Amino acid sequence: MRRFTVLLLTVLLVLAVPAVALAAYTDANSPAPTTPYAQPFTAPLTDGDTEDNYQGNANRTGGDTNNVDIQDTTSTIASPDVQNIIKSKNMYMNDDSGPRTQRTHGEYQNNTNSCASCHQTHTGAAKDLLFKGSSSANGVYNTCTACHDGTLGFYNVFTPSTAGTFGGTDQGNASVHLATGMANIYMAPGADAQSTNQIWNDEFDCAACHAPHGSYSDRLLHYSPAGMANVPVADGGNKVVGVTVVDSATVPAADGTSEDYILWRTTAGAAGIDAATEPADTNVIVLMKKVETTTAQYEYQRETTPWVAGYEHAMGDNYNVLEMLYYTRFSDGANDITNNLEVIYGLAYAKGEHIASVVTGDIARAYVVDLGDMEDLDGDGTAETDMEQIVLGYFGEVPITTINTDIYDEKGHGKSISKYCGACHSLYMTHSKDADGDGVFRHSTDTDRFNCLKCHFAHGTDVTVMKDANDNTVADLQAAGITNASAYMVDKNASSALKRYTNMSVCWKCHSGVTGKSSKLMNNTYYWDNYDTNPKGGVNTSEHNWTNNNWE
Amino acid sequence: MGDEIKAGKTVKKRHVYNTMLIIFIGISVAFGYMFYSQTEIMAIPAMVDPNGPPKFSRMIYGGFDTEALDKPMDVSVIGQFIYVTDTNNQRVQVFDLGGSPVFKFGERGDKPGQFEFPYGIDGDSQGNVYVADLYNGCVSVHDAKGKFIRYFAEKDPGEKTIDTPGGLRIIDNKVYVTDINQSKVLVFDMEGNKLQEIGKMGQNPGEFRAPNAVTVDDDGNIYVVDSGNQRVQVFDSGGKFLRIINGSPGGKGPSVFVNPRGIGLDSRGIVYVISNLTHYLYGFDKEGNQEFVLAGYGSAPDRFILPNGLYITENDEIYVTDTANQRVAVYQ
Repeated sequence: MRRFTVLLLTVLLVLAVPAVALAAYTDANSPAPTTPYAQPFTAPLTDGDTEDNYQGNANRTGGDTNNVDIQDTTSTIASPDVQNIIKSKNMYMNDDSGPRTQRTHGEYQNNTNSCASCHQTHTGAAKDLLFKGSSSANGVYNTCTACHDGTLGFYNVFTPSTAGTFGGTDQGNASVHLATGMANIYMAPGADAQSTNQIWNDEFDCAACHAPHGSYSDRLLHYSPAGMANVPVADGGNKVVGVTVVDSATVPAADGTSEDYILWRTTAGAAGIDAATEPADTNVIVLMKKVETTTAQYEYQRETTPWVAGYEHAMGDNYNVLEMLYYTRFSDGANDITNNLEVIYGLAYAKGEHIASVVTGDIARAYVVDLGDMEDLDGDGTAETDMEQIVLGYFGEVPITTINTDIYDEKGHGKSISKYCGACHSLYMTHSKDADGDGVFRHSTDTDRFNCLKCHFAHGTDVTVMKDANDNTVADLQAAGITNASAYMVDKNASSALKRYTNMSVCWKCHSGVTGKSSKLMNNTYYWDNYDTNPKGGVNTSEHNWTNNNWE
Repeated sequence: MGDEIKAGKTVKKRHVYNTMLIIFIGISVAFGYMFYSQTEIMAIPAMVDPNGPPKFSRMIYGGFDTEALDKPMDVSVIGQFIYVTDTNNQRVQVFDLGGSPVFKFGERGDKPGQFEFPYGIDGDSQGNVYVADLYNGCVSVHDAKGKFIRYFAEKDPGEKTIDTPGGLRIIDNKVYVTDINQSKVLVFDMEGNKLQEIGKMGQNPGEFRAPNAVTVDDDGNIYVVDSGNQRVQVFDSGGKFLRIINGSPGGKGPSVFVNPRGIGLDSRGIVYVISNLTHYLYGFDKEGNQEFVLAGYGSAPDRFILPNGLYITENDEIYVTDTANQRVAVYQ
């Protein structure tokens, strides 16, 4: 028994030392358990927006509204504030009831909480404080397609629309405008390697073409695609630089030697500014462009393209400031006095007592693409106004619209489309044997008729959205009982190149016309004059616009 | 031998025992003091709060390269497997409960067994898998291994009974489907007979704009995520509108949601809602009072980038598809 007691105590002693030591070691070196998450929010939620400052409001934008520079309270959907630098027609201003309190695209309420959905105040991983995706696509692409993938029921970019589709298949020989941020703007086919554009290295994504917060164009097309609103005209952009101010009671005269652009200091009435927005006796500065009215006869006409505002900021690589980038600004000959003026960017004029001091100005001008029509599109007996589109339906009260593709070669519309695409595809926006006489023959895309959209989709193409020269789609052919329609329609080239028409029917579509240059392939009139009865070909002359080549 | 030992100094056994005992007690006291002086004792109830928010548990990833998840839109646990709609890859990825990839099914197309935009996913009591395809406009039924069996409620996708299905849940032998373009919630029995239709396009109570998810509580009340109207609407089992949940008191104030998506209820009755564009996971009581909010933007394990689908198991495991991070997060 004693031996057993000795043994027991010995074992206890031997075990006690490492056991206690281990216990002390383990607990001394492990963090004490803590509550892993902050306490649940317990304070009462209120309707008071000024107290809307809890965790759900990522930027903590609640607070003293006296310190917040609020928007113009007079702007409504019926009477929008056109002076606002951005517009978004489908949003509602100053409506703090109901569900329209989280607008994604603009004209935010004064208590908005939407900004942090896309912008990170202190931790943005991309320019403009945007967040980036972590994987195959960038933050812009991911964010846009979080809704524009069909899950909100409209404007699905992966199904066919008048812009084509991003949702093509390999089997359908799809090609898409690579808007995932994988490519840089300078990689665009036809990009000008000599460009002075300071943002040529930017990633190409949805926001390269669309301004999510609003623009002056249909489909929210960007007011400064690839930053070209701020690139001088001489370099292919839209900015006029060092324009001289001219004082005159009447429109200044112009001749062959006059400057292409002048700034005219006059009254609002003389400049033709709507008296409803500006009293006629207000002193203003407006931009005038020299126009050749008849051969060798010139006059200055007011240029009303909206001006683009922006903060000056340094351009360069990560280490060196190469150049300061300025937008619209005015000088008294020595200093930038833009901040002393009241510039009405949307209506393209400046006012205020200090305009008397202005000597020169740089005007960055917006890109404006009007895809609306002056015709009666919806058959209600009255012509639509500018930028008005076909309403497909309503998402609640918000109209969901599409455009009439016939607009693509309308006089007064088409060239602005080519110019828009030409912001990146610069060298494709030109004339056959261009002004420098380069001797290269090409489609003259700098005309209303031969703009880019006439042959190409903006988003992408594949067999499901392409047509043949007779305007048949796969669906049309299948409905007519043709079984191998997909094989017939699929583009046989290495790339389908965003085309609207399969293979080279993209040529045949137009070059089967009965008048003008496009009729050159019409070697005899047998087929062409018998469209209605001849099943083998010809062209439907009643079809809108395709055969009218009286102007170009 | 014994005599030789006795010849040495006599040590009483009792002294030896006492010495050993004193050393033992001394060491115990010394290390015991160290133990207590360096350890902060937490009350066990404080560490496990039955009323608290769930904790991040683990992450489920697909494989590398083409095996990875690409925009996973929804998730469901059916039997012993986790089914994830791998939407941009037009397939369903299946994982075991430990999160290891097991198999995949589906490919791009509009034929039986193919997907264009696989979205809502859930299973019936036999372990069959129901997949809503937003673009093909149908719900397809597969066996547990992914083999196509039939279309649900329709002979083929051309029928318009179901037009643009988004969210899909099977609860108490009823199939609930949100129809995004029609802005309706459709309720079917397991044979595919339509029992009920709730809502229409609009912004008033009882109306929807692009509903993306649906669930049902123990009392049979139907919770619909009305994404375009930035709210959750609650209906009784007969489809009568009851209330709005949007993070504000009584659902009457501004919504905290931006593009709300997945929804689910745990055994405590907490209503979980994903706010896609703000990257948060909210918890509310059934009346809509906020209990907690988790995650937020980021790639860390307890963060999301554009989260979408949400599924809660009987054991209160919460699965969230984290689309831009290409993974599924599990909370418990």
